[in-house]
Amino acid sequence: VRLGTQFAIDGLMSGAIYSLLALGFSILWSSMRVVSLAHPSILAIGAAVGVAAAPAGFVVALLAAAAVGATAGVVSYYSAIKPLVQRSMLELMVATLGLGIIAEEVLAKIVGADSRATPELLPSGSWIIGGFFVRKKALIVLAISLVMLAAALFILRRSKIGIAFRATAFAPEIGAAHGINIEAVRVFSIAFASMYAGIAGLMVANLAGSLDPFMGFNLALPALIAMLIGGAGNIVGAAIGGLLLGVLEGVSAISISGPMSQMLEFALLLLVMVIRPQGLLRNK
Amino acid sequence: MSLYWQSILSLAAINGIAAWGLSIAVRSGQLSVGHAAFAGVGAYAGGVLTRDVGLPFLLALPVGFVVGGALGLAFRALFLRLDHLLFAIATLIFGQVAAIAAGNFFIPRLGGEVGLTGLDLRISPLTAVIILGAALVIELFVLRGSAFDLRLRLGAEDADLVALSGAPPAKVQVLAFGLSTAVLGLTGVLWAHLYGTVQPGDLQFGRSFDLLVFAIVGGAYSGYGAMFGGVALSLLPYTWSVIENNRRLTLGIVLLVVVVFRRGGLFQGKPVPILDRLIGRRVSVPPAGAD
Repeated sequence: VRLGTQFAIDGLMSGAIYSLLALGFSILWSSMRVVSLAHPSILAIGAAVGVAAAPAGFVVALLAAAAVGATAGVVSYYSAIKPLVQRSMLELMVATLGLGIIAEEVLAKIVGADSRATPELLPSGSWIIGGFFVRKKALIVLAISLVMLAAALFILRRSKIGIAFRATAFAPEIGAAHGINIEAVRVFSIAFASMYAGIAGLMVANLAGSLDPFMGFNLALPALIAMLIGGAGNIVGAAIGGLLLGVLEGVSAISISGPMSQMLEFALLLLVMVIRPQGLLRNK
Repeated sequence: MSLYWQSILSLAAINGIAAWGLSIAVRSGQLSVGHAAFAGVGAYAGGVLTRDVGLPFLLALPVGFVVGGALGLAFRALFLRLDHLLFAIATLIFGQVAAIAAGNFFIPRLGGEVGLTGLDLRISPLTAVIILGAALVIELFVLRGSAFDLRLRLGAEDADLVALSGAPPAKVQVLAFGLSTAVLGLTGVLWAHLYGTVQPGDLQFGRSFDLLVFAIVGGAYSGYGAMFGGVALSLLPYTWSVIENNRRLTLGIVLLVVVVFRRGGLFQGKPVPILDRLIGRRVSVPPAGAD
C-alpha cells in the first residue's frame, strides 16, 4: 500500500498535465464541436518557446509559453478550423491533423528533431512529506496545474465570457440570437485552451528535463482518453479524468513497466469505450 | 530498371492499393487513424506462414485479406456504438496497442522489437501493378455504383437514409469497414514480402497518417482518386530531394491545402460520362458540397 501510494503520488503529477490538455480538448469540443489534432503540437511549440525564454526566469518563460500557445491556437483557428467549420467532423480532424504535422515538422527544423536536454528552471531535489518522496519541481507543477484548473472552472462558471461560452456550447444559434458574438467566443476559447497547452508544454519539458518537438503526440492520446472518460465536452469530467488516468498509470507502473503498462492502459480504455461509450462520468 | 527504382515502383503500387482500401472506410464516413495496424497484422500473419510454414506467397495473400477483414469486422462490431469522433480515437488507440503488442509479444517467432525478418522477397513492380490494376477493375466495374457502394456512401451522410434503402445501417458500416481492413491486410502481406521484414513501427500512427493523406488528397469518394493519391504521393519524394528531406512536412501541407481548398480530394468522384457509359452504369454520390 505504501509503495502504491508513492506511485499514485507520482502518477498524480503526470495526471495534472493530462488534465490541462484534456481541459483544452474539452473546451474546443464544447465551443465548436471540434477535436483539434493540432492541439498537441501547440504544446510542443509552447515548450520550445518557454525553454528558449528560460534564461529570463521561470515566470517569464511561463508567460512566453502562454502567449505563444494562445497565438498558435488563434492561427490554427483561422487556418484550419474556421474555413471548415460548416463541414464534417471528419474533414476538420483531418485538416487539423495536417496542420499539427506541419507545425511539428517546422518546429523540428528549428530546434532539431532529437530530444534535447533543457536548462533547469525549477528547484531539483525532493521533499519528504508524510514519509513520501515528492520531487520539488513535480509538486510545483502540480500546484500550478491545480490553480490553472480551478481558474478555468471559475472563469467558465462565473464570468460573463464563461456564460457566453456555455451558451455557445449549448446552442450557437440561440446564443447568437441573444447578442453573443459567436466568433469572438470561439476565438477566445481556442486561445484559452491553447494557452493552457503552451503552459503544459513548458511544464512537461521541465519535468522531463528534455525538449522533443514530437512530445505532443504521446501526451495527446492520454489527454483525449481523459476527455472521453469524462464524457466529451464535460469540462470538469475531463480534468478529473486526467488526474484519474495519471494515478492509474502510476499505480500500474508498480508491477509492469514501460510500454506494457501503456498498452494495458489503452486496452482498458478500449474496454471502457465498449461498455460506456458516453463516458464514465457523464450522468444525464 | 535498377533495383532501387523497382522497389520504389512496387512500394508506390502497394500504397495505391492500401489507400484505396482506406478510402472504402472513409467514404462510408468512418475515419480510421489506425489502418496501418490492420495491414501490420496481415503482414505478420502472412509473413509467419510463408517463412515458417512454407505457405506459397500467392496463398498468403488471401490469408492476409481474411485476417485483416476478420479483425476489422470484429473491431467495428465491438465499437458499433461509438460516433465518428470516438471511433476515430478508438482506431488510433488500437494502432498503438497493436504496435506495442507486436514489439513485446511473448511469441519469440514474431521477433519482438526487431520484428519479423528473413522473409522471401516476392514483389516485383509487375506483381504490384497487376494487383493494383485488379483493384482498379474491382473499384470501377464491381464496387462503383453497386447497391452496397451507394448505401455505404449514404451512411456517411445519414444512417436513416440507409435504413430507408432497406438495409440495416449498422451492418453496412461494419461490412464497409471489414472490406476496407481486408484490403489493408492483403497489402500488409505485399509490404512484408517487398522488404522481407515487418517491424512493430510499421503498425504505428506514422504510417496510418501517410495512408490517410494518400486517400484524402487523391479523393476517397472516387476510389481511383485514392489509388492515384497513393501512387503519386509515394513517388513524389523521389522527384526532388528537397521533398525527400521534408517528406512529412510536404504531406502535411498537401493535406491541409487539399482539405481546405478542394473538398473531396483531387478526384472528387463526380460522374464521368465517358467512364460511366463504358461501364454501363450511371453513378456517383459526390461528397455534399463538392461542386
